[in-house]
Order: sequence, then C-alpha cells, then structure tokens
Amino acid sequence: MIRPLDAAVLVVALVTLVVWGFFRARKTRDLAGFLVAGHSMPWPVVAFSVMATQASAVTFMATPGQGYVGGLSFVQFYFGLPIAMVVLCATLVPVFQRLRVNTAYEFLEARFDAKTRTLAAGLFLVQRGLSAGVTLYAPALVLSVILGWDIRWTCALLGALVVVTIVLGGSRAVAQAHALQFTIILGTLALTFALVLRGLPQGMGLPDALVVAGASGRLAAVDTSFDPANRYNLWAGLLGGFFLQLSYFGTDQSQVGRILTARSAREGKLGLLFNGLVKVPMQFFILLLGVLVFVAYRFEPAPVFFNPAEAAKAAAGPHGDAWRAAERDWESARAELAGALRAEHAARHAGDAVAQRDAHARALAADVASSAARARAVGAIQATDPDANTNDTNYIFVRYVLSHLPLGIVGLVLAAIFAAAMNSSMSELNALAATTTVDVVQRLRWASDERSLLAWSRFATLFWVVFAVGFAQFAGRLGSLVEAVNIMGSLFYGTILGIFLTALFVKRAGGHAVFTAALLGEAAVIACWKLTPLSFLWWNLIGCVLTLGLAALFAAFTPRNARTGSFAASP
Amino acid sequence: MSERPARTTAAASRTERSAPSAEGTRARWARAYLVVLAALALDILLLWWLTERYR
Repeated sequence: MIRPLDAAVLVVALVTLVVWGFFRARKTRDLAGFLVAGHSMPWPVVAFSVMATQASAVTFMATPGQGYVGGLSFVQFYFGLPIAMVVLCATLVPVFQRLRVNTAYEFLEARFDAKTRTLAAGLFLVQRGLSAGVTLYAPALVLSVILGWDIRWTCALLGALVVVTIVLGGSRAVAQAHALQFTIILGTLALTFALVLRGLPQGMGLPDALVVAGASGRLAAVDTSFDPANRYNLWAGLLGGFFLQLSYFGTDQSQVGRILTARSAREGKLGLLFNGLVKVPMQFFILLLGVLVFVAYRFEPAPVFFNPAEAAKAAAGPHGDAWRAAERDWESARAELAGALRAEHAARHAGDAVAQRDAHARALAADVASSAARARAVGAIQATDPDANTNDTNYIFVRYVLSHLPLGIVGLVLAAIFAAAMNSSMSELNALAATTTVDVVQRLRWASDERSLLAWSRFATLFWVVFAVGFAQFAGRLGSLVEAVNIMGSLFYGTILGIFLTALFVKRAGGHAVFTAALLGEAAVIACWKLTPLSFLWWNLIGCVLTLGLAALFAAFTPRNARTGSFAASP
Repeated sequence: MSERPARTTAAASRTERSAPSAEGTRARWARAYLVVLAALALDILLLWWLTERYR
C-alpha cells in the first residue's frame, strides 16, 4: 500500500490532469472540434500528443524493465521511426491536410471506392477495439498488484478518468491533456534517473555503473548480425521497424487523429519531425534508467521475483518449501555477488589487476548461482499455478520506485504511470469514436447534421470506453491473448499501409485492384504468422510490399474503364 | 498623390521577397528531413560506439 502523502500527490495530479484537459477544451461544440480539435493545434502540442499516444503505461513500466532484463538492445526497435517520420511528412501528411479529412479512411474513398474505405476502417475497428481493452487492462493489473487494489477498481478508475476527459472535451481535451501528461512523465523520468544514480553505492558514478552493466552485456545496443527470427537487431529495426512505424503513424487513426489536429500541414510535419529527432535518444535514456536499476540491485538485496502477488501465492502454496529454499539460495548468492562486485570495483580503482580478476571470477560464479536459484523460484511459481505469468519485467521499475524513492516522488511516479495509461487509451478511444462516427454513422447516413453527429461521437466514445473496460475484465482470464493482441497490429498494419501507398504511388490502380491485392496480402501475412518462424516486425514489410506490388500488377492488366476512383493524389 | 502607388509597389516587392517560393519551401523541408536522418545516423553511431566500448 502507498503512504498517505504519496496518495495525496497521486490524487492531486490526476484531478489536475483531467481538469486541465477539460477546461482547455470546454468550448468544443462541433464535430471537427470533437474529432480532430478543429485542426487548430500548434506543432509542439501535436508533437507531445503523438509521442504521448505511443508511450503507453506498459511502455513506461516495461521499458525500464526491458533495460533491466535485456539491456539496451530494445532501442533498435525505434531505428526505423525517424525514417518513417520523414516519409510521412513528404507523402501522407500534406494529402490529409489538403483534403481536411477527419479520419485517414475518408481519403481512401476519395481515392478508390467505398469498399476499400470500409475494409481499412473495419480492420482498424476490430484491431483497435480489442487492443483498447488490453491498453487499459495491462497497467490496471500492475497497479492493482502494486497498490493492493482490486483490478476492477483500477480498471474502472482509468476508464472513468478517460471518460471525463474525452466525452466532455473530445480531441482538443486529449491533445491538451497529452501535452501536460507527457511533460509530467518526462520530468518524472528525469528526476527518477537522477535519484537512481544517487542511490548507487558510495563512490560509484555513472562511468563505474556502465562498466558493471557492460560486464553483464546490458550495454549491447547495436547488433549488426542478420537473423530474421531475432526481433532486435539493426536490420529488423531499420527495415521492419520502418514499415511498422510508417503503418502505425500513417494509417492508424489513433495516430493520424493526432496529426490531423495540427492547424496546417507545416505544423503537422514539424510535430512528426520533432518526434523523429527525440524518439531514439528518449528511448535510450528510459532503457538506461532500467540498466541503472539493474546495477543498483547488483549491490543490494533484490526480490527473487518482482511480481509480489505471484511470489506470495508460491510461498503459501504446496510448493512453498521449494520456493523458500530457492529464495534463501538467491539471497546468499546475491550477497556474494555484491561483495565480489565491490571488491572488483575497489581493485580496479587501486590498479590491482590480479585482485580484480579474482573478484570478477567470484562475481561470475555468484551470478550463475543466483540465476539458477531464480530459475528454481520460477519453477515453484509454475508448479503452484501452471497459468501463472512468469514474466515479471513490468514490475521491476515500479517495485524499485516504491522501495527506494522519497516520499511524495513515489506518488508523482504513480501519477505519471496513470497519465501514460490515460494517454494511449484516450487516443485509441477518440480514434475509435471518430472512425465509428465518420466511417460508419456518417457514411451510412444514420445522421447527417452537425448536432446529431456530435452526439453520436460522444455516444461512440462512451460505447468504446465501456467496451474496453468490459474487455479488460475478461482479458485477465485469457492470459496469452494479451500477447496475441500486441502482435495483432502487425498482422494488419502492413496491408493497410500497402493500400495507402498504392493510393499515393500507383495512380493507375483502382478500387477493385487494391481491394483484391489487400485481401491476398493479408492472406500472405496470416500464412507467415501461422506457418513460419518469421519475427512479427517482418510481417509489416511483407503485407505492404505484396499489397502494393499486386495492386500495381492488377492495375496493369485492368481495362481503363473498369478502374474506379477519380481522385488523383499528388504527394 | 504619387505616394500611394509608390508605397503599393514597395509593399508588393516586399511581399514578393518575403513570400516563400515553392522551390524554396521544398528545399527548406529537404534540409529538415536531412537533419532528422543525420541525427538518426549519429544516434546509431554513438550507440554502436557504446556497444563496442563496454563489450
């Protein structure tokens, strides 16, 4: 449980976030204002909104955890992002802004036909509708375990905060809230970074910490080997990552909706380019924060397993003796490790190479012993409950914060996690509402006047929030679905991107050609998922290239009068 | 009487000078894109150096 002052900071921060967003957006009275903030935002707000949308609470909690477990290699995942930002600025952003659309899929009807627009919008609604539940569920679960609150309460609290902000204020409130939320998140991360550095053993600075981290392989940031099954290497990051980010920012309404809030193409482009400039350094520092937590825990007692709920279950279960034995061995091996590392550090500074080598060998042996003890502890958790989640990465950073940071700062970090959870949920739900209203309600002419459409938008937002909170309650029982939904984006992104790139670059292609190509491209991606060990980042490339190539091929063999769509895009 | 046309001409030439041509705009954006790509290359180089330095 958290202390009263931390709880007070958490409550004040959350209320401030909601009130800020609502009051900055209380004049929202029209549909474009509700869906895309009336195309009125300056580039800094667009930049923060785009970045806040991508940085979900899971990213915020899991990225330092990822740094702790796997080091800096995850940073390669973002190498394709700056290239994608440049390509989007040169192609799709000017087209979206010129057409003054409210959703990305409106452009597809203007360029091709209604069925292509419906296909893309439908794929988006299915994929995002499910992941909206998981976006709420994942942080709600971690917060419920850490705070000792019921998962239904943390889910409902997150849902309520999101509802209050976006049903009343719409996209303008989302953009304004994002700017403040992301500032709080970055400020909190910077403060935490400084505090973790200060918490290192006496006489140890950043250079010494890097030596300890490097000796454990945590500073291997760039892997130039080419292995299609390896998710994190330079080539997967540059190529697969490029197509993933291009699809995500260019065709996913939760990001396109943020870009469309810009008051002009110039402001939208500047927002994206700013994102392209700061994303890799920002992810590097968040991962480095995790690496520093790893170093700090090398010198002091660390839990054998960071998820306290699973640990308590194992200790109280039928395999409690095995758990306790593993925990004892872990503690003694870690004490030995800390001693050996201190001796190595002292010998290095004294210039005693022999003592340093001896201490290093002791540290390696203690490290192996502690890894074996942890494996036995995880075995006890699995033996107690075969469905238990044995991945504790998401809990590492929060556990460190709760046990190490000063009073008040803990509340601020928890508020930042809530803010991050709200960030991505708000964009997703606003995008789902926009697509439902514009691509379904308006398209099928269920409503046409501004007032009714605005009412539909608010209703659609409420519907998707209730759907997400409801699905979040159910997601806990589905276990592996959480992972399945995470890779679901890559199942569809490549195909959707292929449709958009065909719209821009294959001027001869009509609706029939791109629709058929998209169906075949999607079938190929599903075949890759089911039949090959190919990492999911590559699916984006395959879906995109196949859709684009097949559409060009079909267009070449389609008689001119059979092509549909008259809009000529000029990127 | 003759001041008004002169001022209008001066204003027009100022507008001409200040209004960015399509080519100038494209060149400015191209430079901005290059800066972003150069920053990425620098990031990768620094990270590669870090990897090798602490291997």
